[in-house]
This record gives sequence, structure tokens and C-alpha cells, in this order.
Amino acid sequence: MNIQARKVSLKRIRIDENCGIHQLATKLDASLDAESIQKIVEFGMKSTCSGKQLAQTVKELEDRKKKLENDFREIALQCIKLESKYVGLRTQIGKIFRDNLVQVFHLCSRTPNGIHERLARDELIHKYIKLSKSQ
Amino acid sequence: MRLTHTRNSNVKLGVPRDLYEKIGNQEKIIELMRIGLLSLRVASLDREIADLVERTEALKKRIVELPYETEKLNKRLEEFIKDQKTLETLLNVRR
Repeated sequence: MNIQARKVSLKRIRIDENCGIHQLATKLDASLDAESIQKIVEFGMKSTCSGKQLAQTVKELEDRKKKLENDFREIALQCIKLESKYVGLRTQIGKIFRDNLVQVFHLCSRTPNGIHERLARDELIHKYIKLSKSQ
Repeated sequence: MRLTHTRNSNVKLGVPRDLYEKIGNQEKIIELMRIGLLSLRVASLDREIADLVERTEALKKRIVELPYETEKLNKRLEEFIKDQKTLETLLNVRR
């Protein structure tokens, strides 16, 4: 059962909107109802760092995150280029394979003329039937 | 957020009275809230950074794999094009 539901007696305190509390809560998507305030304060009491140290750590982490985001964007762009080349090739191969398979079916109905033609014909039929089964 | 706006860009927050009495004054509560929120922000940033590092590593791995995979596809494409020509020849011979 939460604090609001238990109708806990509240003490209203006034804070400056620009003191940072409001902005931090927004960034964290944290509520500032009585129950959340209780948890946030308890969390603050457990901290071994000062507000100044924590603010410095947050700044350093935000800078690091920005740098990582930039690196990620560059790497992602590089990956997209390579991936599109790969996908394009795969599509092209799929199309040629299907065309060849159709031609192989046509070839099945033909009688080979000579040993070399028969060998080439049998090899292609065997290869494409096997490939079509594995797909 | 349960905030009550007052004049002069101030907001009012409802603090449980027992917590207020335990801590004793408003400034201390605000400072503890700031420390609590900053600690949560540090934890949140740590998670976001770990996630970014993990996703970046996965992309780097894919970048290493892709040229090799593409080369394999190139070889297969050459092979299918060669088959295509052989098939055309075999089918034309019989016409």
C-alpha cells in the first residue's frame, strides 16, 4: 500500500524550480509524490558521496555517454554501408539462383547430345536440385 | 509529478511529515533529495553507457564479419553466373 493510499500527513515544502531537483527528476522520469520523495531521500541518506562529487560524476558520465553515442553513430553508419552491400548481393544471388533453377527444369526435359553435354547437364541438375532442397 | 506551482517559479512538494520531522529542516531534505536523485542518475548513466558499449561492440564484430561474408557471396555469385552461361549454352545447343 503506498503512502498516498494510507493518507499520510504531509508537510509542504517550497523549492525553487531551478534548483535542479525538478530537472533531475524529469531526466530520470521519476515522480515527486510523497512516496517517491521518501524513497529518494532514503537513497540520498545511504549515499557516501557529497552532492558536489555526484554532480561531477554525472557530468563526466554524460560527457562519456555523448562521446560513445558519437562513436556508435559513426560505426553504425559504416555497418549500414557494408550490410546494404551484403544484402544487395544476397538478393542478386537469390534471383540468379531461381532463374538457373528454372533453366535446370527445362534442361531435365532435354535429351543430352554427347557425353560432355550429358555430364554437364547431370552435374547442374544434381547441384541445383540439391541446393533447392537445402534452401 | 505532484507539484504545486507557486509564484516566483517556486514549486511545493508534499513530504511525509514523519520524514520531515526525522530530518529536521527543509534545506537538509532538499540536499538529500538532490543527492538521492544524483545517485539514481549515476546508476542510470552507468546502465546506458554499458548498453552503448555492448551495442558498439556488437556492431564492431559485425563490421569484421561482413567483408568475409560478402566475399563468400561474391564467389557464389560468380559461380551462379558461370552456371547461368553453361545452362544457356546447353539449352541453346538443343534448339
